[in-house]
Amino acid sequence: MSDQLAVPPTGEPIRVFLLDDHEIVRRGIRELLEGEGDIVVVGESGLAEEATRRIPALRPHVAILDGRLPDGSGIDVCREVRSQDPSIAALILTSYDDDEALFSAIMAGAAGYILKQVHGNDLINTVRRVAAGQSMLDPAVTTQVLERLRSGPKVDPSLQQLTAQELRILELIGEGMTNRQIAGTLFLAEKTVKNYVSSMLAKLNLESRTQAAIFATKHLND
Amino acid sequence: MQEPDVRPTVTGLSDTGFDDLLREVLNRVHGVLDDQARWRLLLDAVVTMAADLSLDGLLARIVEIATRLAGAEYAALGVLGVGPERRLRTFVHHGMTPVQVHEIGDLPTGHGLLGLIIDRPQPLRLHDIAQHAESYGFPAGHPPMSSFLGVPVRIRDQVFGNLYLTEKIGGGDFTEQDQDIVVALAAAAGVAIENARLLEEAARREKWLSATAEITGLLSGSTSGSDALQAVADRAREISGADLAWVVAGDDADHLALRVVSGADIDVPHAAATISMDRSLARDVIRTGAALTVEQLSQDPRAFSTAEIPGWPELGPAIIVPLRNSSGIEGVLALAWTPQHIAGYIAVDAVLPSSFAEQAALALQVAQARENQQRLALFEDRDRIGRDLHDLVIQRLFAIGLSLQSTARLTDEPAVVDRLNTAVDDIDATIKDVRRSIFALGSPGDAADIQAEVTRMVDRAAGTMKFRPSLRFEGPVRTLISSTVAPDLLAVLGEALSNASRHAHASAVRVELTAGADIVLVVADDGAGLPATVNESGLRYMRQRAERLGGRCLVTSTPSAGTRVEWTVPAS
Repeated sequence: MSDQLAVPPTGEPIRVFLLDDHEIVRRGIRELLEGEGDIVVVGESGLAEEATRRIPALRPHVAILDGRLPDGSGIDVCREVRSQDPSIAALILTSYDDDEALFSAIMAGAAGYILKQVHGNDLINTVRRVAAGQSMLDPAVTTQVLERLRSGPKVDPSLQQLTAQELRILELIGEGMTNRQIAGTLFLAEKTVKNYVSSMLAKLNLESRTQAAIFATKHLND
Repeated sequence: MQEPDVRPTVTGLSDTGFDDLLREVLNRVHGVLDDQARWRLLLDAVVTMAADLSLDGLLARIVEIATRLAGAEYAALGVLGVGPERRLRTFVHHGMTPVQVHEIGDLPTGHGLLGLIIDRPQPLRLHDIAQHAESYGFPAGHPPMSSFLGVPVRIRDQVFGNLYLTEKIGGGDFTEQDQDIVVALAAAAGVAIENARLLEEAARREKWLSATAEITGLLSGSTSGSDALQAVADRAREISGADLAWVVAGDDADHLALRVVSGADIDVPHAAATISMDRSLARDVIRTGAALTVEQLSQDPRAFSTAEIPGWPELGPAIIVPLRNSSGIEGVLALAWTPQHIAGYIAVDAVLPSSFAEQAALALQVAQARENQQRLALFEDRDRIGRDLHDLVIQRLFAIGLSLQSTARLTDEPAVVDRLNTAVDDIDATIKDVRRSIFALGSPGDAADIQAEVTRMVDRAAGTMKFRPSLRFEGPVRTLISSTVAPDLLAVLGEALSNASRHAHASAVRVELTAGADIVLVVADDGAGLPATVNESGLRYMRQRAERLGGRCLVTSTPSAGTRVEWTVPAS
C-alpha cells in the first residue's frame, strides 16, 4: 500500500502533527506513519488550546486532529489554524461514523477525515494525498451534506435553530473557506465569524442526540 | 355558607336541628292548640319529616301532610328557581289522579296567582281563585278549584318555595286556624328541607372530594396519555350524574382538539378530525379562565357543532370548567345533561367540578412531567453510554489495532503477519459493531433515516431467521443515499432477506450497505443456493428497480454454497 502514490515533489519528508487526547492512539498512529520512513511526526498534543498555538509555529504539511477533545473540538482547532496558515492540510480523526465524520470535516474546512479503524481507511495513503494538496472530500458530496442540512430530514430539529446569517456562513464553510476568508466575504470581524462557527457547532452538536430526544418528548403526546 | 350548628351530619341533625325544629313548631302551633288532633298530627309529621332525609321524598311528604292538616283536596309545593325570573323550577303536587296530571300536561311555572306569593311572600287565603285579579284561569283538563291557601316556605330568611292548598274538603273556605297550622308546617318543612339539602350537598361534596383524591392517586400510577384523560372524564361524569363528559385540549386556544369522550360511543379520533374548534365554548373558557354554564348546549351558537358526529346526543344544560395547571390552561372538562335530566344539572354546584378539574389537571401535569423525565433520563443515559463507547472502547481498540499493525512490520514471518492482520481485521469488525450499537442507542425509535430503517429491517428479519444477520455500513450512507433511492433499496433488502430466510436454509446472512460513488447493497447467505423453483418475479423486480435507477443487480448462486445478491445504483 505504501508505494501507490509518490511523495511530495520536493522529496522532503512529510511533516505531520498529531492531536488526540489518547496517548495510546497518538503512539499507534506515530508508529504506523513513521514506519514508512518518509513521514515524520513533528509534534503531538492532547489539548486543543496547545495545538492551536503550536501547529502554526511548527508548520506541518498535515495536521491530524481528533474531533473531540477535553478542552474543545478539533473542528475549532482546524478552522483557527487554517485561518492563520491555509497551506496546512488537516484531517479530522473521529471515532464516529462516516456521516458524522464527513460533516465534521466539512465544518472544519479539512481536506478529509479518518475513521478510527485500522484497515478500513488507508491512513498513510490519505496523509500522502492531502500532503500533496488533494482534498479527499468530493465537492458533490459536500453539496449534498449542506443540502441535507438546509432542507434536511425533519428528525433533526437542531437545524431549524440556525439563523439566516449562520446558514450563509455554513454555505461558505461548505465552499472550504477559512474563518478569515469568510470574514472578508461577509465584511465581519474574524472573531465574529469564529463565534458564529462555535455557536453553530454547539447547535448542530451531532455527538449528542439528547436535544432530539427532548424535542421528540415534547411532541410525542400531542 | 352554613353555620357550625347545622353541619350536615346525622348526629348534628338529631342534636340541634331537631330541637330547633320542635321549638319553632311549638311556637307556631300555639294558636291552634284547641285542635288536639291536628296538633298531634303535625307533631307526628314533623318527626317523620325529620326521618326522611332524601329531598325529593321529603317534599312529597310535606305536600301530603299539608292536605291532611288543612283538610284540602289538593296541595302542591312550588320550589323557586334561581336567577332574576324567580319562577318555579320544581312543582310537587298531591291529590290529582295520574290521568288528570297527564291531561293538564305542563306543570305550572309560577305565573298568575302562584306568582303573587312569589313576589309577595305572605300567607294568602282566597274564597275563589277565579275571581282574583291575578288569576290566569286554569288550563284545559284542570279540575275545578275555588278555595285557596298559599303559604311561603322559608329556609332562614330566604324563600325556598310556596305551599299551595286548594279545595277545602266539605266546601267552604280555609280558616284562620288552617292558615296557622300550615304556616307552622311550612316553618318545620323549611328546617327539614334545609337539613336534607345540606346532607345531599355534603354527600355530593364528599363524592367529588373522593373522586379528586382518587384521580390524583390514579394518575400518580402508571396511567399515561389519553388513558389518564379518559379516567378524568369518566370519573367526573359518574360523580356529576352527567349524560356526557368530554375533554378538549391543545397547546393553545388555536390548536384545540376533542381528546376523550365519556358516556357515548363516539369515534373520538374521527370526531376530533371533523369538529372545528375555531368556534367553541372551550376556547372561551380557555381565554377567560372562568367556568361556563349554559342551559341549551345543542342550541348554543357559541358551542362547536356536533351535528356531524354520529352518536353525539342532543344536550341541554352543560358545565364547562378549565383544566388549569401551573403553566396555564391546556384544556377544558365539559359535563352535559340531556334536556330530560336537567335536575341532575341543577344539583351540581359548578364549584365542585371546577376544583376537581383543577386537581386533575395538576395530576395530569405531574404525570406528564414524570414521564418526560424518565424518558429524558433514558436518553441521557444512552448518550452517556454511547459517549463512553466512543471515548474509551473505540479509542482503545483502535490503538491496539494500530500497534498490532506496527508489530506486523517488524517481522518477515508470513504466518505471523497473516495472524496479526486477521487480528486487526477482527478489531476493525468489532469497532464497526460498537459503532452500530452506538447508532442504535442514539437514534430515537422513530428516526426516519435510511440507516435506522435498514437496521430495523435486519432486526426484524433476525426474528424469523432464528439468528442475527451481520450488518455493516460503509461510507456516509445517510448523506449519500437519497430519498429517490431509499424506497427501492429497502424493497430490495426486504426481498433478499425474505429469500434468504425462506428458501436458503442458511445459518448465516451478511448484509452490507456501502455508500461511495455507487450505493452497493450486498445480501449474502451460506445456504443451499437458489432452488429451481425460486420466485423468479422477486428477482426480476430487484433487477428492474436497479435498472430504473441506472444500476444493476447481480445474483450469484452456488448450490450448497449460498446466494449473493449485489444491488448497485449510482449515488446521485
